[in-house]
Amino acid sequence: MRRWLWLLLVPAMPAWASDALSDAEATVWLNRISDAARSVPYEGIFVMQMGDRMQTVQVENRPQGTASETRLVVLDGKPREVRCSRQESVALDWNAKGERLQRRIGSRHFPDLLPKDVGNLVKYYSLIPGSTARVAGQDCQIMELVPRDKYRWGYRLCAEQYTGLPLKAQMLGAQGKPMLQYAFVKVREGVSGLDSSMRQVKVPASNVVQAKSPVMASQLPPGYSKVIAVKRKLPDHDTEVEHSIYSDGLNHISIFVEPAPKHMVDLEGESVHGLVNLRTRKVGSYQVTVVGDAPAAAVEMVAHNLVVAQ
Amino acid sequence: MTMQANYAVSEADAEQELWLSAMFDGELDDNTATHVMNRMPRDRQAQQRWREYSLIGDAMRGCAADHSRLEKRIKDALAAEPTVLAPVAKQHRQPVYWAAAAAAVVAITWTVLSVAPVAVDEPGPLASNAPTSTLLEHSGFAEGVAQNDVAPYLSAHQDYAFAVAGDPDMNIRPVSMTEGAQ
Repeated sequence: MRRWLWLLLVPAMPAWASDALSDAEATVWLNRISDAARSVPYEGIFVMQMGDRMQTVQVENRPQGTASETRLVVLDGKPREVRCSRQESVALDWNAKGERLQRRIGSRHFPDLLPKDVGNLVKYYSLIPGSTARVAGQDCQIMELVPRDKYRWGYRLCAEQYTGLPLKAQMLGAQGKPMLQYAFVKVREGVSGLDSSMRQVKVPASNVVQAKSPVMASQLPPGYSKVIAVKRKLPDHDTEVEHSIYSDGLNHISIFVEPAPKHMVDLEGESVHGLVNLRTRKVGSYQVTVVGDAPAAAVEMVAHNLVVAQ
Repeated sequence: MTMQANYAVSEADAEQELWLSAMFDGELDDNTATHVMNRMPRDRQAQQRWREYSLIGDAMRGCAADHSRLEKRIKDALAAEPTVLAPVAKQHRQPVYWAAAAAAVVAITWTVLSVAPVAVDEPGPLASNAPTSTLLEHSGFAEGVAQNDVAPYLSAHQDYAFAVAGDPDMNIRPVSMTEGAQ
């Protein structure tokens, strides 16, 4: 019942609305959408499209108090399963050698894309309501998060009219074109009981530890702050790397720090559709790789303001 | 119109084609260039031809031309120029220098128009993805190796940010980045 009360709280949306909402109105909307992804029990199938790639994913969410337990199963391509709960997030991969279980250092996934604290979003994005649409047979309200500066990509969400659950999410590039998008093709409220194939898994001891990075960014794009810093082993790497993540709540930038090899080459790269940008450079005696699902300006700013921590 | 008249017009067109083409290629001598520069403002057909040449050049170079926007940008830039309150004394130059300067301006303007990427739309508050670092020569650099080298970082980042997005196809280049920090 509590889920429906938000309809009274959210300001009525006129059909012609196209201007940015006030900060107070935007906060109400974003809080609702953020909460719905965790507090609404649901199960369904969504499609993820990034460039030319598509993946179909089965998802089910069981609210548990203020948190939730979510299971995502990739239905095509390489088998993969992700489980997120309040305590931890793990990923199961299957390959020729068998099952591989890894802890993830975050629990972000569609449709749970917005942070719990939406204050930062209101500061750095305008929220513009759009028209109503229909996704997976359900009516939803389009809401667009438009960046206020050049350091972040925008998002277009379509929130289910009664619960606020995002049924569709698009990450928008510089020209407002979708670079990454998720959309439910089938979704229903409620969970039909534990799937028989959803057996309990024994989670291994953490392979990541909190760390203090020897290299830090002296200047960050506005609104970005450090989320976590861990020491972890990457595939094909002999030594551990320090992995720090900075975020504004929607865009994320990773910094990987490791001892520099003898002959290193500075690199820059961008994904085919511009979503991901990368810079590798030498700072002191370290090789630092900056990767972000953020505009080049943001990744560039971090990469050019790296200093060895005193 | 008679066949003779048609032929005469075609011949005039052909001549115009020749000097416009030579102008684009910077092959006119100073005197002829001066003559052409003087003629252009009065010759609407030549102006039209010049625009068509520009569009063809842009199309061949794969640039999306938006000259109206470019003209606006130039006008805006000129409007933003500081007003000279104390102009320097006018210098008397030989006409040949003016012709050479005019030819040089035409050549440079054409070069800039040809090679400058033309924005299709203003990016507004959003970012451009244009890389700002200096590219090095690709000699000896295996892009496949770089792609493999960066794959673990991409995977680790994507796993945090998206859970199921997978690794994107990356265009990786070696660069020389100015070390701004120690």
